[in-house]
Amino acid sequence: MPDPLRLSGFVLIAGVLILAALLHLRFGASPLGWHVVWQALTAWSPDDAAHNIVTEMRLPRLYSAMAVGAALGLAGALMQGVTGNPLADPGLLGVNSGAAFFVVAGLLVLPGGTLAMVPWLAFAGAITAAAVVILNSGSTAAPARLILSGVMVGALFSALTTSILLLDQQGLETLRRWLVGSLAFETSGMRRMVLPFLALAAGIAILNIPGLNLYRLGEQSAGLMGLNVRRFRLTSLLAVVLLAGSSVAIAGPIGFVGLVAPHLARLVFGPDFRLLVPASPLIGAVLLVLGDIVARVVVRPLELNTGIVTAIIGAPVFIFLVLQRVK
Amino acid sequence: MLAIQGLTASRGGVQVLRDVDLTIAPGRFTALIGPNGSGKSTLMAAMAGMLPVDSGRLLLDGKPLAALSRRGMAQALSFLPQHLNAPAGLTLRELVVQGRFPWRGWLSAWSPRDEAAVEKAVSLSRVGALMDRPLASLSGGQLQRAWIAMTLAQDTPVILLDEPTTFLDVASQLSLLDLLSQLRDDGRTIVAILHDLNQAARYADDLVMMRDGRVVAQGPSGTIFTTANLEQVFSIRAHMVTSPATGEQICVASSAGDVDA
Amino acid sequence: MSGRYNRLLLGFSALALTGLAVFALTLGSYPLRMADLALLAADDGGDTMAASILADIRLPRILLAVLCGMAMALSGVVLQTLTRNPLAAPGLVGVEAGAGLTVLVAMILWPTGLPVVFYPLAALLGGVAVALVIAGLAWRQGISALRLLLVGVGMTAILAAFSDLLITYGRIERVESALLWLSGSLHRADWSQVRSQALWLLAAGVPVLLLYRQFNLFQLGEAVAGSRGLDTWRFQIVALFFSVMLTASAVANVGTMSFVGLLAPHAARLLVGERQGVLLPLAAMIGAGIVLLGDTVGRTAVAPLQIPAGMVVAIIGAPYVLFLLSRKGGTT
Repeated sequence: MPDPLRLSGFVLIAGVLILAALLHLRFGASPLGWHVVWQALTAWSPDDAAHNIVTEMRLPRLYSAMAVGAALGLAGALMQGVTGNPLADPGLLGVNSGAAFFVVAGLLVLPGGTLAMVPWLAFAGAITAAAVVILNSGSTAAPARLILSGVMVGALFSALTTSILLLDQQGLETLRRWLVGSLAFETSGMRRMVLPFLALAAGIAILNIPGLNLYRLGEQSAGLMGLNVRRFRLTSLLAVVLLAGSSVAIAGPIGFVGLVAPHLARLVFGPDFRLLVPASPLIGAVLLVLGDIVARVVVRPLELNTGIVTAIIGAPVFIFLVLQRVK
Repeated sequence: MLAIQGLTASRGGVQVLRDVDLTIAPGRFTALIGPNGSGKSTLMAAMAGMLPVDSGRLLLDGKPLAALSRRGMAQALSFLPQHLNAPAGLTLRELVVQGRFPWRGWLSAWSPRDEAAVEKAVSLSRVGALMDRPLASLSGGQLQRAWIAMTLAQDTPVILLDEPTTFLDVASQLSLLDLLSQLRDDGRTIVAILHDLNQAARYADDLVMMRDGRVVAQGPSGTIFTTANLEQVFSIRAHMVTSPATGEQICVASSAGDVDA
Repeated sequence: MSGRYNRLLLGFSALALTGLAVFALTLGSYPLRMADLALLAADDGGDTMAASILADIRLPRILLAVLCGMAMALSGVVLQTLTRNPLAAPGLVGVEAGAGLTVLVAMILWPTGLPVVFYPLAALLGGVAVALVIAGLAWRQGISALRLLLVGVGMTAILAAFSDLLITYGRIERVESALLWLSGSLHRADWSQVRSQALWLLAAGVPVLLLYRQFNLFQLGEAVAGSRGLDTWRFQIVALFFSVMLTASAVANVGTMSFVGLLAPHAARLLVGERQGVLLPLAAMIGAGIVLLGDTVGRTAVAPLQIPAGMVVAIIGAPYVLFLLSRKGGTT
């Protein structure tokens, strides 16, 4: 892999990420000068209000955006690898809606729902939705079946979530923004809570790289070449659930990052998962940081929900991919 | 009579037929033969009016095919494509009656004429005993005969069939070809794409040989079915032997020639 | 599978639907007995309170549920036959979202600008626009079914994002009623809506029923249908338009109920297979039954709270569809 071209690809993406991160810190409800951002990072003074905006509000939000984007990017790459379907995405396949429904139901319906339960609820929802979709789509990678099953599962969970909220008006008022994917809430605690799960999922993804590469030849060939297909599929699915669940716990359901990031990664690095597994989360992080900047800047001083921004930008990419790949 | 003049047509942006001239004589059985990708199916789809053509003309009894309405076209010629799929739950009868579509008004009732056409088609294709069976329960040969019955129920003077013998065992292939000959004897014009060269030569009155989107040779089977033509069209080395039973010429391919040529 | 079986089945479902409707008339916060209904029907004077509840509240609501259910189910059958994919419900491929978004815009951004009577037209405009865009993008020498479905999914996502935008940033009091409508509710049902839905059903649903032979032929494949005299392009466009009209009118009157267009055709297909002449009317009646049942359960189960019919349908219907699909394995 010491291919200079590929190395430079990673350098380029890292550069874009750093640039996006700095832009993220600079722009917001009140745009700050570059020197303010720089000072806040290097010579922070507790009395300076502008410094506090950077370190107390924007920096945690930046970390969350990067974590969520990376998780979704990696989840998308794993899903596309395991389903053999280039259109797979945890948002499109209902996994995010499942996680969101379990979180809403858990917080509003269960007595004594606390924030500490959110990740577990999200994992439970993600695993339920993923299991239903995968059982439904059978063993084939027929794109329409998988996607439509996913959309149906997503529709079901959204309907359930809406019913709960209709019966609980206060819940609607507090949760309606979280439900369309938002980074606007204080999420540092949640981020720290899900960090071990993200690390575990990343570890699984790295261990499964050889499997992902073999699996491109089809389930049967991969099995014949010595891949333990069942274990490979189960562990990959576990990783997807952990990644999607964590991202929902932090920011609510955000779609299409998981679809777009692996495709961009493939454009730069080709189909080899040894490169895609590290590249997809990096690109996912870039996408979400950029999406979050757009979300905060276009209707200043209000802000859009990041999930809406990623859908409006990502869904046309999905349509483009369909037109390219499905004859 | 079906006449094709200077026909050029494309599929998926690739030119598949190049300047094809062809005349299908009425009341005869014509077989289209040629290697894979030679444009046989595309030519047949164009003849059935199912494919927009880039240039050239298709004439049916001297009138341009394009001037006919869909329904008028379907009253003049029927076409059985190669790839067929029917909803598995339908019964054979429910499939066959749909061949009457071009003859029925929007809401007109089932007429005695429709019933007579269906009965005749069913008895010709010998599927009478299977009328109430679901299509899913039929064997490959039975299913193919069901589709043939549907095509016959359409009751058109011209019948086009794209590889009707594929997936059939030898006995079913022969009985299908016998049926097509019988229809020809009734005065219909039959055009079929066939893969078995000897069957084509034996049953068809006329042969049309295609290669690379062009018609290489056409004419009565007896004069066209020669080693020279076969070698040119299929890139094989062939020689002819005489059948001890019937005295017909049988082509034996001895080796693949310069296949890439 | 004889014609007799089919006629019996249709007769039985019509009877069951009527029975369900009559039973639904008796349910509610002001309970009535069957005997009361008979008296009122005989116009025996008596309980004017009950008479007005029946005539002004329950009857229009029940009729609207039946008519909308029919429209949604027919629209679903048409779309599924056109795409030859049993999962292609109007709600999953963008038509419903397009119709829904236009109505949502009218409700949230411009609540006084458009009389409710015109909502179906607005919805139709949105639905047709989306259908045109999707069909145009999916066009490849005729409409390619797979592309149509997947492009529809993408369009749904974009439209849903804009709907979310409106729901998230709209004024909360308008959002609540919009959200209620969006989740498929009949709580505003009145006679004007019944009339409008009946007209749309007459304009688009009846032709669909009469086109059953064309649908039968079309499902044998485009090449077969075309060479049997069906102008497949024109047929696809006309049928798609009817399907959009049916969905749009239902969406405008009662909001989105994605699962009816999936569930009713599926159940009907289990009973009669792909025989469009029976499938279309049977699916319509099953669809009517589903919406009516959903609404009746929704307004009585946790009264005085009302759960929108669409939610009840989704909660009961989706697991059923998923179960059926998982049993069928990878056949689609």
